[in-house]
Amino acid sequence: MNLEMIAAGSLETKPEALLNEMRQLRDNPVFGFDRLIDLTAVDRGETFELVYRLNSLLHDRDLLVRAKVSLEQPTIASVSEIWESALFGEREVHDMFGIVFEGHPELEPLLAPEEGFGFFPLRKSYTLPGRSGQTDGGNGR
Amino acid sequence: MEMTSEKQELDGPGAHSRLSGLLGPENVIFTTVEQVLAWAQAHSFWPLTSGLACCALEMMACGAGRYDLARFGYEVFRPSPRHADLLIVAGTLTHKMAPPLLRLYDQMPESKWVIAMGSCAIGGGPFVDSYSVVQGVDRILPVDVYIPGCPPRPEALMHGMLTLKEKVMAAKRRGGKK
Repeated sequence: MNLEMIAAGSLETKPEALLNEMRQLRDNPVFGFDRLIDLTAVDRGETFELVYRLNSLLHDRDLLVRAKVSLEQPTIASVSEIWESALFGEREVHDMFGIVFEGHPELEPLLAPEEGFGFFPLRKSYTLPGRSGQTDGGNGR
Repeated sequence: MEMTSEKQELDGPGAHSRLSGLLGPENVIFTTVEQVLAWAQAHSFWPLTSGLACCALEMMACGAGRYDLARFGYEVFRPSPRHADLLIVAGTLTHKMAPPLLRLYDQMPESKWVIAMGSCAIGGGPFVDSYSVVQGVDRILPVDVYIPGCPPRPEALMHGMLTLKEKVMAAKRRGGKK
């Protein structure tokens, strides 16, 4: 892991290495990031960027962890087994971006209706329905 | 009583008691079941205790002491849809909330009425362009009275309910809907 990036407060990681690194960040007392305080995503146009905000009560320190996944196959490992607070955050990101979190025990709509919106509102490709109530849903499901 | 003096005696002060005398001691009035039922229903709506957003606070204010909806006989807000006959949709309806609201409406026994209170319930309000808001509850429910405002004042809600009263009485007189 890139220690300078961790010291600077922002770490970029590969999706394949995510679980491993996250576990180290929590369990290694040098890092001591015992809390996941936010989990969200950004549509960068070419990729989706997952953003995890970690906090260490031990060292009173924050860390942003970022991981990029492709638009075509937006899949990444769930960190819910490391921090349980990821359960709701990952469901929300799943609703809004359609990103699939592998290993999440209950990846069902949280903010979307039970059957889902049928589209992903926070994707850049999504267009608002307008007053007619019609939407093409961007590149929906 | 002389027939010639009858017309004059039915006008002016004391006419009511003289009319009672004419009708006889039983006070019989001829009408239809529908009209009596409509009169009873229209003067004692039992609204469902349900609010979706800020309009609900105006609805609560309307039921409380200062505005006192009880003056009209409408104060019996019911916590169960089984006991209610009026659904006041007070606030923004999201797609997430639409199925539960529809279920509440379905659980209400006939006859039942719906009031769309405020801009959001009428047509989505300021959130009309959002992906998550239903653009008016009349897309999923049969609305009887629309009350504009953001939010409508308690007086407006009262006026809406009195308008609904007129509608219910008129519909029954025509033998129409519900």
